[in-house]
Amino acid sequence: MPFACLNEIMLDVIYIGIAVAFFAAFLLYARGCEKL
Amino acid sequence: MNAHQWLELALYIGALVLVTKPLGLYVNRVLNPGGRTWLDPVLRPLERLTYWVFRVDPAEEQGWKQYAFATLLFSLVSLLFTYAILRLQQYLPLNPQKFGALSEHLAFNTAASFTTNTNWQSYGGESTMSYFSQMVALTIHNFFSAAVGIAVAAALVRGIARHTATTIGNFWVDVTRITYYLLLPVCVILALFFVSQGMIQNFKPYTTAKLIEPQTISVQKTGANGKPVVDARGNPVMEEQTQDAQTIVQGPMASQVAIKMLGTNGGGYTNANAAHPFENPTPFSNFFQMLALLCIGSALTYHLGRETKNQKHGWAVWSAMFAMFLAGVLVCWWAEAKGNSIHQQLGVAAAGGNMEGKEVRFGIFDSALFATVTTDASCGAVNSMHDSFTPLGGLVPLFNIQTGEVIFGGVGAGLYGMLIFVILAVFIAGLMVGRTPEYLGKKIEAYDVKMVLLAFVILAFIILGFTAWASVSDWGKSSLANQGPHGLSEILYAYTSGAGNNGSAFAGLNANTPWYDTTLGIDMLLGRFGMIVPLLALAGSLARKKIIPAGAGTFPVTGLTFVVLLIGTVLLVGALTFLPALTLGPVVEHFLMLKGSLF
Repeated sequence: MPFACLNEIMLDVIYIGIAVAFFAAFLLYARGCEKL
Repeated sequence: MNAHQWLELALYIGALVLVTKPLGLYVNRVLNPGGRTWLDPVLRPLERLTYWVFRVDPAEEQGWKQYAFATLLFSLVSLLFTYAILRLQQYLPLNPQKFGALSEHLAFNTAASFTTNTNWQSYGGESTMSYFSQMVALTIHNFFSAAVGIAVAAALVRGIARHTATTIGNFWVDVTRITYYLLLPVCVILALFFVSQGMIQNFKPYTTAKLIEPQTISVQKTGANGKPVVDARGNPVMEEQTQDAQTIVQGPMASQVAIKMLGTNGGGYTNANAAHPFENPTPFSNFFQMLALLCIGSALTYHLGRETKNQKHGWAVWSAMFAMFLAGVLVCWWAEAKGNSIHQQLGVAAAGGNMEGKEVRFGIFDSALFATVTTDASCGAVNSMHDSFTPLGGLVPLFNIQTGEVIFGGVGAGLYGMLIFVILAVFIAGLMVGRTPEYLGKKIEAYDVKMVLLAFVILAFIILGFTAWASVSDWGKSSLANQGPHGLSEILYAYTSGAGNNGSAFAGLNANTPWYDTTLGIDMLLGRFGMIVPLLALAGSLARKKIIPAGAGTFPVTGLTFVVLLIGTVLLVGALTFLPALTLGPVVEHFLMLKGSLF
């Protein structure tokens, strides 16, 4: 597999990971709001 | 500032007032699952089928946590769906121009942007997006993100209107009904009207016209892989090209523009957005695009009055929004009509004022009105370049967004944003008279105020934090077209537009770099959901409360005193949060312009 393609897949995983991580954080934020 | 411009302003205001009650009544029926509309015979079977397919029980209501979970899950799935389409664009159909995939950072930025109803665009639509991407990845989001905003506002209004209740509605029912009964039918009518005005709607490949005089232009270099070339800092590498032909955009434009305006999305089909002759062909299309922007936000205040059985309160909230809208239009129009004093001294100024960056077809008034409306409404559509406005003219759109976009605002987002100001105003009034604050018969307690403040703090924190970071970083400064206070305004506008889910750009800033795309994407997500979560918590808290009868110390939420207090609260919070940054940007630029310095 060419390096450029591997690099693209890695960046895709990073950006999808950022999106999922932020939405997970919003869920935790909701739990925090409940307990505040 | 001549008579026909005043007449157009009066016509616009008259049309907005006229549409508020009938549309508000219709919205009220749509937001009540048992509400009947004249579209029931056609749409009710489709609604039932949707519930059956997605296994939704429309009779089952949700508490605020379930409602928030559904909102977040729906938004995450639709964000990933859009990201996938944009990254796989070259393998998907309806791509006659053979556009390649978007880069990872641009796809993330665009997916976050359209999911959050921001519609910030770090790309030129006609040179980046296939018809499939425009219709499936972007237009669908225009509907869904607008529906989510209205659904959250509906949930908050239910929380205010209900008492001793544990639920605030059903997210899936709200989104389905808003999309089917409100957004789709109005968009069909709007799209047909736009086509009648000359807007295009087709699947033809782009048309090529031969130029009489070849032009030499500077364009971003494209690599062997078909992608734009950038240097080590992520800045575009430019090259000179001689053009002897012009490519004329085609595609399904009217269908996208209709929801772009009605849903206060704003993502342009073309890079020039509503300044493009195809995307905004006539004065009529310009007028109705501006009306479409504010009509649902205005109607939702009527829904508020209807739901809370206090129509005067709904009109009081409308009046506060309207007063700030009118003040913004007048200041922006005056500043642009007054023009640039240096241009006037040099004898190069246009007769009517500052015409730099404006479409000649629209002129100064329609540009100033559009800029005010679009930034009141959390819409990114522009028919002129805000970067080229005079410093004070440009301050108005910037400050409109910084108020939290509560001046009619984005569909739903404007109302829920304004309602937190209402609660804050009532809280301040309660403190002034030394009584526990009440809002429509409910005591506003510590928990409610904490949720309100969380919603405020998150916006201020991300706008000012990201702006400060970008202003002192190499990656931030290297994208600027202008230095000094104007450069700061460009950065401040970008992060304000992102966090406020507006999406309009000041121009002058090359935002399609890995750092700007990523930080603006995060900025938009935090601005949208960082506010929605505490608001739904507030809705849940208000719904649980008991109604107490109004007493002598109850602060009335109708009448002039309340309207003035509400406007004062909005302006005070906006000024306390952003005045230092505005002073370093457009305010100092205005004084330097008077001294003879331009940036």
